[in-house]
Amino acid sequence: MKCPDCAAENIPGSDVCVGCGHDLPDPARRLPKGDLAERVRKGTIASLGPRPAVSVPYDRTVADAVDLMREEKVGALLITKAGKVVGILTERDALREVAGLKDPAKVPVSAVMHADPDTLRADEPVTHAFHHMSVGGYRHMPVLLDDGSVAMVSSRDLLSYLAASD
Amino acid sequence: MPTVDPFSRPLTDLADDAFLVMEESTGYGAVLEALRTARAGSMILTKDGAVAGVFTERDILNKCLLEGTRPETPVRELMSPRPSTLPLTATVREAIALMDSKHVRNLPLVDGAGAPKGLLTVGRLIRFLAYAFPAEVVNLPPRPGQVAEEADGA
Repeated sequence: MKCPDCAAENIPGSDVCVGCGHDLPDPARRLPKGDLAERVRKGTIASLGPRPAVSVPYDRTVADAVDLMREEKVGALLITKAGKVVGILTERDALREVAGLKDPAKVPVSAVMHADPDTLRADEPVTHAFHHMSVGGYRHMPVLLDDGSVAMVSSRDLLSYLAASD
Repeated sequence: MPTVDPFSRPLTDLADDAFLVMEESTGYGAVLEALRTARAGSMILTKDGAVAGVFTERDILNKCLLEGTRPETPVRELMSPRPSTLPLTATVREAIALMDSKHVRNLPLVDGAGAPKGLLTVGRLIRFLAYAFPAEVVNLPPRPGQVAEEADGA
């Protein structure tokens, strides 16, 4: 295929252009299929596949939280106090307030978390996630499940939902 | 209803042209400061004018925050090198596919020479889609099963 950046010819199936080294666009078969608009209108939060949220007690430090985010490969943690959710800590919060400024081992998560985060419910339309993330600028939102537990959805889950071909 | 399928729109329509870009030899401290000042989540790094890498919040979280990274460390050593890119003329549909398959939240948009011309973040993409489906997003009842029992909803 022809590279859209530098027009070099590449053999079919190449991932990277031989001419300029850029990633080649995924072939058409890997583009999301079907009616994406329909997927936006019809989906529910449950169809995003919310994953169990990872949580950390409010009196732990940002260093503990960062360790946990690395280990679990997540971008946000629920902050709990006596078993109840009191806030959310995102990687952005950890960086804004701490990186290069303070010792993460000395800052409690309660000092940089967002208290009382907006939440979604599993049976709400997926458009609510678009709306909340767009208006609030969030990349992660807690989802209240019917059994009382809390899961998390991310902006990446929205992309995966749209990208999944049916 | 929009007359043009939002997923077929070119990325020029929604990319951020006020993106941050620095030389890959810049020190970590200066990059961090620039990100914080602009309240931005990622920086495009260039070498000889072409995109060489992206340095994101995730890179800071994974490689710097607990390591006490020195401010003079060249960001070249910390960035994610050779990032996925798209031309500005690529479509929203292509961007969704690439961001999903490569697990990236920040996509530099480049010209034919690989020079950065824009940045597409996942947040911007989601905002674009929220605006592209305004009726669906805004006019939904707070509960899906909700039905107004009186004609005027009063």
